[in-house]
Amino acid sequence: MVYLLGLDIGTSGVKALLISPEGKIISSKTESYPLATPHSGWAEQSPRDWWEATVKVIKETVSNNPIDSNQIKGISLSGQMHSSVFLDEKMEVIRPAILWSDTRTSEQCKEIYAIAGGLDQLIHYVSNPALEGFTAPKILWLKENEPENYKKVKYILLPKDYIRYKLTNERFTEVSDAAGTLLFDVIKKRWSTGLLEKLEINQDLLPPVLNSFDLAGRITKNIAEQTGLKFGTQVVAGGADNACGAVGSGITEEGRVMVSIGSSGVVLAQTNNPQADQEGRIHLFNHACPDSWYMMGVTLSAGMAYEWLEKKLFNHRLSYTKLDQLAEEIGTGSEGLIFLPYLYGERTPHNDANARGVYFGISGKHDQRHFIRSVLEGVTFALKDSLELIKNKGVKIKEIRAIGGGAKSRIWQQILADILGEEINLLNVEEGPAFGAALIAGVGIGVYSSFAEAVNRIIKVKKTIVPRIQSTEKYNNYYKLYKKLYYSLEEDFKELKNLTSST
Amino acid sequence: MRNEYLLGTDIGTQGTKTVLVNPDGKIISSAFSEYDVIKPKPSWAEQWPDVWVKATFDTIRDTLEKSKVKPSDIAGIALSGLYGGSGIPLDKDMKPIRPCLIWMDRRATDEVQWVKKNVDKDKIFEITGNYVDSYYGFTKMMWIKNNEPDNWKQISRFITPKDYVIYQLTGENITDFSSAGNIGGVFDLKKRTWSEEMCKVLGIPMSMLPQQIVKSADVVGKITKEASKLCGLLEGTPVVAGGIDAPVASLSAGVLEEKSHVAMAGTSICWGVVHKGQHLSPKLVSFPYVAYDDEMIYTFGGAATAGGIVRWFRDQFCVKEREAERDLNISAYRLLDEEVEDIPPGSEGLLLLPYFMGERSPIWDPDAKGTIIGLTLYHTRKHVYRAILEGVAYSLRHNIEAGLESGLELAEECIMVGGATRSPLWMKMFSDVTGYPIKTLAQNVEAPYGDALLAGVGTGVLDSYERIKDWVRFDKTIYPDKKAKKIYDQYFIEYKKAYKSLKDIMKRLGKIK
Repeated sequence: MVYLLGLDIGTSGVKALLISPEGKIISSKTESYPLATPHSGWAEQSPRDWWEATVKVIKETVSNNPIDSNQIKGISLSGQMHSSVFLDEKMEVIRPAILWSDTRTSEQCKEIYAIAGGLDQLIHYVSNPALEGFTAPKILWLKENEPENYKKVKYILLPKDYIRYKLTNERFTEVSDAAGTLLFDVIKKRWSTGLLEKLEINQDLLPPVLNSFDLAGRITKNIAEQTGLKFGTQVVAGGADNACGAVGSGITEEGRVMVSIGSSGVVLAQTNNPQADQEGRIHLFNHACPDSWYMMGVTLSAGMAYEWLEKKLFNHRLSYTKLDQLAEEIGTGSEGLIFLPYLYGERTPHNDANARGVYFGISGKHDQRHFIRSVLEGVTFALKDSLELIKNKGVKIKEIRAIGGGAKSRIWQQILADILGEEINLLNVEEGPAFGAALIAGVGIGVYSSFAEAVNRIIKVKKTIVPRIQSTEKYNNYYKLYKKLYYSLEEDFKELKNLTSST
Repeated sequence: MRNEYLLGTDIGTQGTKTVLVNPDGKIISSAFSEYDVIKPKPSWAEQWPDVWVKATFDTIRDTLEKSKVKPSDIAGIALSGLYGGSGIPLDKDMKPIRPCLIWMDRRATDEVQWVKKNVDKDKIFEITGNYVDSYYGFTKMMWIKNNEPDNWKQISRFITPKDYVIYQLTGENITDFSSAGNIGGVFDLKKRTWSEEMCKVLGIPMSMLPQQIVKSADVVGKITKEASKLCGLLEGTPVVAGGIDAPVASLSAGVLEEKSHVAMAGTSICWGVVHKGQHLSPKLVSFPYVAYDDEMIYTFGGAATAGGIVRWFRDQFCVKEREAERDLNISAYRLLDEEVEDIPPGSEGLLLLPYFMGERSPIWDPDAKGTIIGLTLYHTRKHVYRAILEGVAYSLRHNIEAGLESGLELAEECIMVGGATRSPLWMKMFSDVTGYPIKTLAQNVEAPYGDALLAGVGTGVLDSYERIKDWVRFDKTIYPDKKAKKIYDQYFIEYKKAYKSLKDIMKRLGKIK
């Protein structure tokens, strides 16, 4: 018997998931680690913490179940994107990793635009806009702010690549994670020498780039002894958490779209025909499957907005079940109450840190139920923004699959179907990126002949939510106003921001 | 003090209140009777006049009974009333044909458009001192004409709510200057009479308007035998005309001089100033004042909601405070005030437009909608509450600003009356936002108290309006804080801008069915 191990190096912790080739979960172990915010807007983690937690979950996985570690034939990894690990010539960590959620690099982003020759040029090089979270601005930040540390930097790795290096002693990255560095020519699938030169970053700092499903090394003797894994076990490159999450939801062929309602909301569509958005509103990244890409839009506050409502507006007075029930009592469109979910600024499509949350259209007839429902609707409008951009890039939507905590809410499922005006499929498995990593391991070591075989064998649609035409028509009208609201208030957001920072 | 007690009755939108006072202004007793507005559709608001008549009779009787004052010792009664919009359409036998379209009713939007298109703005403003909005009674009369031709044919005259009640008390059919002026459109503010010209232009026969217009302190008749049985006053007791509730409430706060201004903050806000008519604003409402009627003009602006939103928020989001209110007998509002006191001015970047019921002056936009702008993960329910209080204060400032822009001069202090004055925090905010020191009254009786004064002046029990100064006691004045004012100044700019940014979308939102 063969088993596959998927590791996900996330932001809150690491997860080790052991599955059979049929997708059966044999073991699932997680271990959390801290996140440090030494200054407002900073977010750092220690790669040592990742590693210790990883060793721990692997050991638990190997020891706490009846499977012989001989049978674990393939391992692969998923990981948080963009976060940078700076290493010296001995491959020792120089300073804590600067995470994807860290926003200290606003100045460096501006520099990158200036050096690259504007947004157009940057998109030309790397298919994406310069966002604070990406890796390249972090490298520049280090250069400018910690020159002593920068001088010591010999190698730069992404989180899961660093862990893979620790497991195999081999230094690689792969296309899906390289895509998030802002230094990778996403369309040509190689480091962008043009941009690297302009930014004066030595390409030797960066690892060689593999395909996600390529063999990247084997478990070393030392690690085998430390973890209980078999010496020589094959380790497959793996992918960025978004790519692995998509694989784990079967988003591996053109036209399949994943909508994920977690803390933030993600709309991700697989495509074989990469088209960068010239305005940088949606991302274009390399996918884990051969010669394929995905476009992705992100709304920053999705589940987070609902959590804010529960916690801050209702003071924990009502459970989520109760909130759902109350929202269900109100009709499509919350009788004209519209919510803009920009509680943490917005990524897609506005890339605007000043954007703010808004309840618009309040009148005497509105009660708490409208305030609940309109949050679900507003977040879903934000997801529609991303889907519309993806459609505009010529992707023909064949199927939408919804995952994440929000997609477990019955009312949210229906709102999603109604607002997008598309059928929404719910899946039999929802194990996140670690599951996708395990499938990539399977493809890599030949347990599956292809990604298509892997996902079609394991991942099934368990329920389809059908849009209600009348609601969709009504939502289309509200959506037009929803879209206008941001543009009408864009300046006001800026001025409010200035008022709060001056007082 | 035989035969010198005074009664005042205010017929409000949601209830009627009567007070009995002695000639020194001491309140002996009072009574209140509540009723609901009929709202057949979202922007409609109507009332059958019998509701007002009954509430008036009931509260007079209750007040008398509670007071132990003999009916023979009542010198007289005066009445004030809500702004009755169209007034009650009566047939030739003085029978109501349909309910009155009261001030809150906003259905006459087509009529407003017609006036804007067909009547010169300068002309209507020049003659009447007012412009046009579905708030004004003349647009509601036009609505009945356009939409209910069968009713229109039967109409012999329109009569305002309190004048209908006076008719039931005395058999006399009159109106006072403030009530006539508030109809707008057809009233010549300078000549203080109906404008024949405007009646023609607007298609409202002058014969439908009250023939006799009197001063608010004039005795207009005596209690009839029939009415006496129903309300307990002696037959022959003098009845004084009274006026529109807002200026009468201003009078109750001692307002007699030019420039004096009062904000009444209850469910909604009404801010008004008394002056001699040199400066008028098409953004505000103007009509004769209820004291020195032939000399003084009362100009006011009204925000559609104030306490209304506060109550709405309490009921929707403050279960905990309501429980505490029940268990500990502390007002939920007071608890909320304590919770938000420490949040700095500006609610840390939260801005609220209080247009939950559309808005009256100065933006006159029935399609305006409430909006909360600036939410982040950090903001809590408390911030929203504070933003509501601040938003309402901005709406007051907006009206005051419209007054100043038209050249009106204002006294250095603003008097505030109404339920909102129970919140010291809110009063502080009103002061910080507007920059005016705020004076509040020791007792909040409002319009019925002013009615009692008018009854006293009309019957000769009191020698002049000035006696109100002896009646009224003020609390300590609240002064604005310069630092807070500076912050609010900037938010106020945003407040006005945000409405402009959203105005069109508000209109479109209303059209989605």
